[in-house]
Amino acid sequence: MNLKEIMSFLKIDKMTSEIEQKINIAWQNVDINAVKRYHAVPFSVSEPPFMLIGDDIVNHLKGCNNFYLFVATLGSSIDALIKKTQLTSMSDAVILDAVASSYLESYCDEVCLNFSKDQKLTSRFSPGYGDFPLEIQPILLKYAGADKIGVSNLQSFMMVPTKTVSAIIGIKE
Amino acid sequence: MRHLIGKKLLFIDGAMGTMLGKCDTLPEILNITDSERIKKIHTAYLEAGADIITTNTFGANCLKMKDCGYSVKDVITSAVKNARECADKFGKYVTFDIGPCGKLLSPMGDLSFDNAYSAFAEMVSYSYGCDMISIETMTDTYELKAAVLAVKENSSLPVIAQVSCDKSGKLLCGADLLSVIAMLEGLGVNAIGLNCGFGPEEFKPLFETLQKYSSLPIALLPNAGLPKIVNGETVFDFTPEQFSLVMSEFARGGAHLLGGCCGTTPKHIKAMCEACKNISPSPVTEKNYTVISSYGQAVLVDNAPLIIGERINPTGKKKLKEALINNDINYVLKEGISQSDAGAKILDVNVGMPEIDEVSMLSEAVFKLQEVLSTPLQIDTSNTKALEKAMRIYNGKPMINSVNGKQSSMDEVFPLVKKYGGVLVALTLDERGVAEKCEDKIEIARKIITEAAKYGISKKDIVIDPLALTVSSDPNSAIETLKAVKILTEEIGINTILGVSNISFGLPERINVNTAFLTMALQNGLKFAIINPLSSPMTNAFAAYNVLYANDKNCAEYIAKFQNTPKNTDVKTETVFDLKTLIALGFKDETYASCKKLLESENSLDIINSFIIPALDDVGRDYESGKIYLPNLLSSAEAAQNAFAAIKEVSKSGEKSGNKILLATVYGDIHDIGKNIVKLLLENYGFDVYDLGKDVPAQKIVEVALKEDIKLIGLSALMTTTVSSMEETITKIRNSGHQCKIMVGGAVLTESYSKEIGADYYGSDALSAVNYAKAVFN
Repeated sequence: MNLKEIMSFLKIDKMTSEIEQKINIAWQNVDINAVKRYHAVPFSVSEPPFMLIGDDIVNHLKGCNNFYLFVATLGSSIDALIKKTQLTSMSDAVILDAVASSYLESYCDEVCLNFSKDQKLTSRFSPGYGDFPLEIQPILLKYAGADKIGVSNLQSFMMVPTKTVSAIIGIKE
Repeated sequence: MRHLIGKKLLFIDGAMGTMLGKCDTLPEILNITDSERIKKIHTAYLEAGADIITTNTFGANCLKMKDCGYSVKDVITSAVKNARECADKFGKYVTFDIGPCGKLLSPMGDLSFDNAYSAFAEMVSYSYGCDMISIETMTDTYELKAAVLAVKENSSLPVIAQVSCDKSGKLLCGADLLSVIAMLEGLGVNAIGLNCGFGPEEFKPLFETLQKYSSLPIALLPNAGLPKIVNGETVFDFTPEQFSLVMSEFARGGAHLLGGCCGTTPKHIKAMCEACKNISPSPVTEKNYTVISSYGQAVLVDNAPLIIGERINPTGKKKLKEALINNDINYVLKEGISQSDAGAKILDVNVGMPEIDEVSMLSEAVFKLQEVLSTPLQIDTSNTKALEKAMRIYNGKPMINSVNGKQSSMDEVFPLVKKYGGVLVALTLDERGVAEKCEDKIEIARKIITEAAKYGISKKDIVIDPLALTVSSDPNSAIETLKAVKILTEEIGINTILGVSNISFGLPERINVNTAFLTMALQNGLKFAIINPLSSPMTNAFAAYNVLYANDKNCAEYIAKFQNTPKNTDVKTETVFDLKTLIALGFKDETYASCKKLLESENSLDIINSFIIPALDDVGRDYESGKIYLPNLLSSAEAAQNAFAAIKEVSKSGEKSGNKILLATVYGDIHDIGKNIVKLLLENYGFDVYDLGKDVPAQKIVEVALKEDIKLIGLSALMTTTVSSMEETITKIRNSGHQCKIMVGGAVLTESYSKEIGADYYGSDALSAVNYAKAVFN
C-alpha cells in the first residue's frame, strides 16, 4: 500500500491514526471486492493499429520497436461499493475512492513488474497525458481488447468501470 | 437440433480470430469482402470433425459495427450464408454467434438494458437459417440476460449461454458461477457453458462447479492453454494432443458440448474429436438446489434458515411513505443497506401505495437497489404489471412474492416465473379465502405445486407461506400454521416462509410473541423468516436457534455477534461531550441521541443556531486553514446531518430554508462524489437541494430550474471532454431567459476556464461552494 499516494489523493499533509485506520479498512474492502483483470496486446511501433498522435507519445516510445496496449481494471463491484458507501458515510466514501485509485495503480505496477521479468518496459503513458489526446481512448480500448475484461467507454470517453487504467507501455530494445 | 443437445456428444469448432490472424477491418466484414477465406476456415473445422460451426458474427452488433461501412443485416446474412453453405456440404449444423456488445450496461455504464436488448434482437432477426444460437464470452450477467431474452423473444432456436470468468469462477461483474446458473436456468436456456479465459486445465474446477449445481447440458470451450508473448506475437501453449487429452476427460466427466476458443485450430479440434470418438455423454441430471441470486451473489438454500428483511414496505411506515411520495430513493437504498448489514440475506421490496405509481416505482427501486447492493431481492407486489416490469429488469434470479391458490393468480404469475425465472412464494389462500386449518393449508399447497408443474416450475422453486394470521382473531392460528410448516417440510419436501410478526397483531408487547413464534417456526423447519433485521430480539432469537440446531459452526457467528457487547449498558463515560463538540469531532453515531436529549430543554431553532451551525462554521474554518482534512469535514457534516434528523422529528425548524439549489453532474459524466459532498454540506446549512444526479442532459436542468424557480445552479464535471457538455448546459440555461447564478466545480476546471464558459463562480472545493451559496442568498 502506497500511503503517500493515498494521502496525496486525499490532499492530506499529516496522517492521523484515525484516518490511517480508515485507510487500512478501505484497503481491505477493496481487496475483497475487486475483480482485478488486465489485458495487454503487443504491437509494433512501425505499424501501430492507430495513429499515435502528438509528440509526447512518440518521445515516450523512443528506443522501442514494440509496445503494449494495456488496460487494467478493478471491476464494477468497486463502483458499487463506492456508491453504497456514499449512502452510509461520505467521509468513508471519499477515503475508499482514494484508496481504490491507489490500489489500482499498485495492481498495474504489479502486472508490469511481472512483464519486466524478461523485457524492459517504459512507464505507462495514458490518453490525456501531454499532447496525447483523450479522444483516442475508445480506439485504444478497442485494440487493447478491453471488452475481454469488460471495460468500455462512455460517450464522454470516460472509462467504465471507473477504476480502470488504459495505457501504452513501450518495450525497450 | 434441440433433441440432440444433452443426448449426444457434440463438437463445436475452434477459434475464428486465431485463424484469421491480425485483421485490418472488423473480422465480421470479411464475410462479405473475403467470403472464401471464411468458408475455408469453416470447412477446415468441419473436416476436422466439428458437428457445429459458428457463424463469424461475434461482434456483428450495431454498437460495435457503427461507422464500419456495412450494415448489420448484410454482414450477418452473408455470415449465415457462408456457414450454411459449408455445413450443408457435410450435413452438419450451424450455430449463430452472439458476443458481448462492447459497452457496459447501466447502472454501471451508460447502455440501457433496453438498448442492449435491441442490439441483440436485431442480430437475432437475421439469424434465420441457423440451427441454434450461441451467446458467448459474456462477463456481465445483466448483458447476458438482455441477450438471452432477445433470443428467446425473437427466435425459436435452441440457445447455449456461455460466460467467461476468472480462475476462481468469478465474472467481471462480480457474479459467481452459481448466480449465473440460477439466472440462466430461470430464463430457460438449453445449455450452459464456459469459454475463453484460459486453457482446459484451469477449466477443471469450474466444470466441477457447473456439474454440481446445474441441471442443464454443459458446454466447454477453453483456449489452447495460456498465452505467451514470443517475438512480439501472442502464442498459446497447449498442443492439439495436450488439448484433446483434457477435453476427453471432460467428455468422460459429463460435458455435452466441446469446442475451443482463442488459440485453437482445426488441428486441436481434430485431435479432440479423435480422442472423444467413443465416449457416450452422461445423462443430464436434475439438481435439487433452491437458489436465489443477484448480479453478484447467490443464496443457496441448505440446512440453515434465512432472514428476509421486511423493512422496505410502506405499510405502517410513515417515513418510508413520505420518501416514496417524494421520490427519495436514497431513503429506500439506506433501508436496504442497513438491513443487509444487519444480516438479511434477501430483501423484500414492496412499494404498493395508492399515492404513487407502483408500476414504475417498483422497477426503479429494484434497479437502484441493484446498483449498490448485491443482496438478492424479493419482488413483493400484487400488481401483475409491476411484477412483470420488475422481473424483466432484475439482474439475477429473484424471489417473487407472491402467487396464491386462486386460479386467476396462478394463471397470471406462473407464466412470468416460467419466462424470467424466480423462486416463487405461494400463499395458502384460494377462492374460498385464507386456509385456517392445517389440512386446508396443505391442500392448497398441493394444488399450487401441481398447477406449477404444468408450467415446468418445479417444487424446488416454490416456497409455501402457510399464512400465520393473528392469534387475536384465531387462537389456533399458530398451532395450525406450525403443524403445516412441519408437514410441508418433512412430508412434502418443500421450503416454507412466514411473515412472522403477523401472528401478534393486536396484542401489546408484540415482540415477546414474535420471538417465541419465530423460534417455534424455525424448529418446525421454517426456511425463510420475513422479519425486521434491525430488531435485536428477533435476530438474537434467530442466532440462538442456529447455535442450538448446530447450524452455527463452533458457535462462531453467535460469539462474534455478542463479543463486543459491554456488560453494563449503562456505562458512564468520563467526559460527556456536548453537541457542538460531537459535531466538531465527527462523532456521528452520538449526535442523534445528544440532540434528542437537548430537545427536552431547548427549542430547535436555538439548538441549530447555538450548537450546530457554530460547530459547522468552526469545522469549515479549520478545513480551510488546513488544520483538518476532507474526511474530517465530512464526518462532521454527517454528524450534523444526524442531529438535524432528530430535530426534523419534532419541528419544522430543521426543514429546508426555502432557498433552492439545483445540483447536477453534466451529461456524459458519471462521477458524482464531489457533487454529493457539496449536497451534504449545503443541506447542513439548510438549503433545499434538488439533486438531479449524474449524466444529466442540459434540457432537464433547464426544465427543473424553470419549474421550481431555482436561483442557484451547481454543475460538476470531471473530464476535459465533459466540460464542453458543461458549456452547452450553461448556454442553454442562459438562453432560456431564466435568471439565476451558476457555480461550477470539478477537478478539470480552472477559474479562467469557468469564466470563459459563462459560469458565475468557480468553486475549488466543496466548502467554497457552500460559502458562495450563503453569499448568493444573503
